[in-house]
Amino acid sequence: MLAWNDYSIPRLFNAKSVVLFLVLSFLAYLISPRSPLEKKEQDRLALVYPLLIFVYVLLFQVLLLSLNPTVRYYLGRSGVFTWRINTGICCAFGIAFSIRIIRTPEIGWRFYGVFLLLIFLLLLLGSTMPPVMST
Amino acid sequence: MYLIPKTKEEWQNLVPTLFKAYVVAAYIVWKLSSLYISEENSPFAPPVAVAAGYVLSIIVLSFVAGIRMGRKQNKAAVRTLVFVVIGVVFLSISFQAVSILRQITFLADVLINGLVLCYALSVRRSQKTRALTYWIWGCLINLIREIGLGLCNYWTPPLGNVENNLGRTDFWGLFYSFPSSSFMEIYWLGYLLTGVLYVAGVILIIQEQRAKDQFSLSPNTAMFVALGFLASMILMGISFLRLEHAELLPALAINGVVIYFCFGGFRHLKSKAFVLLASAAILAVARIVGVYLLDWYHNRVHNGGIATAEQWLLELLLLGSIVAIVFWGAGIIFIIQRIRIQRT
Repeated sequence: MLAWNDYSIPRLFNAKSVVLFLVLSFLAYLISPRSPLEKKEQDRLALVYPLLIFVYVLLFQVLLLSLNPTVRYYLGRSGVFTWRINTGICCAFGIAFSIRIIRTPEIGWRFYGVFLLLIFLLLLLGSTMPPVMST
Repeated sequence: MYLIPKTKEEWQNLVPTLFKAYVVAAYIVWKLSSLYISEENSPFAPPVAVAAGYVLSIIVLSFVAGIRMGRKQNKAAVRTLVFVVIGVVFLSISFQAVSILRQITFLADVLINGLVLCYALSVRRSQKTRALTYWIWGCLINLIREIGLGLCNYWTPPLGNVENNLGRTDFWGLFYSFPSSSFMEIYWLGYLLTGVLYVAGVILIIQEQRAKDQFSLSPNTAMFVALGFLASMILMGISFLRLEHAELLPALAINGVVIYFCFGGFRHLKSKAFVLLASAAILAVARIVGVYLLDWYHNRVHNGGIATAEQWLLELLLLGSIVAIVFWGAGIIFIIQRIRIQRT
């Protein structure tokens, strides 16, 4: 197995940040007033969004899962800032979607929204300490 | 029958016909020649010459299509454009001497997805069915990920993987700045989403066909699609961490659901389209399990050089995946045709 150490030039964002932002914005559009979906369907869909983002962050930002079986990805010092931006984008959308769940009238879903909000705040706090750093 | 053109019109059509023949034959002839002769000694070497021929053919044929469109000869223009598309596809695939079947798998994937996308889009103008929307999105995502795989530094020379791209700082350089893990995660997530969207479309169509006029879309539909994607993402994580194969568990789950619903659909609706879809799912399962077992045998049991039998088996599995793609495309097109006929 190869080890991929990120020694690229430090930058503000990379292609992954652009893709993440576009995809998450599209997801937000699907539950916005301009969406072609009905209100009830939007509300149900919004319940799954934070979970999707949480699992994504856990697999690809925290565990740094590389889906190329021959390469193990290590976060280098130069890639930390981009990593923080990417995690920040995910957490920001996760918090926004959790707040949308909190605004629903059902009390059960409100607790669920608060729980998710706490998780994303913790993740955001944790993003100050990136996971695996290469020497 | 005569080979030399006689009338003025035939002479005018000769040049586009020659370019069309080049587009269809050049790649295949070059590929076959480089199978038996080393790449340096190939009569068409270097591959840059073949690629340049394709670029010239595409430009000429696009020009001819434009002229025909200007003359309101729409059918002839579309026929010419088909060759332009074939040229672009050949140009975008690898010119290195690797497995032809691997190249054909890519080609079949792009062409079948493109075909289903065009057909579904044309039918959706008159029939706003949610299943069609899911298939359109599925095809679009599949096309983006397949073509993206070629774009993001994975293209082999002479068309891609240029070292200069790695340090590019302009906007388009973003396309080349995917760290290797990031692109693969987007590629596999796209694969999962496509699978879930196809399955959701198939289930919705079966429900719709069975309920006929009484069918009303459940408000949970979009949520179930999102939950399906979430479940496949978790399965992918487990599959990769435990079995070192990202697609094994999610693909088994997705294809298992397709087989289950397609058998149900065939029992109630007696449509051969569901048999095709179920066959495609069975072939896909066979390929994935086959690749996993081959990998397991090669790395854990055999642990040596690649045997000829292994290569043959791998080629056979690739052939199965091409047949699966064709079956899948045919099945979806038959279902869309059925919807169109029923509604008109």
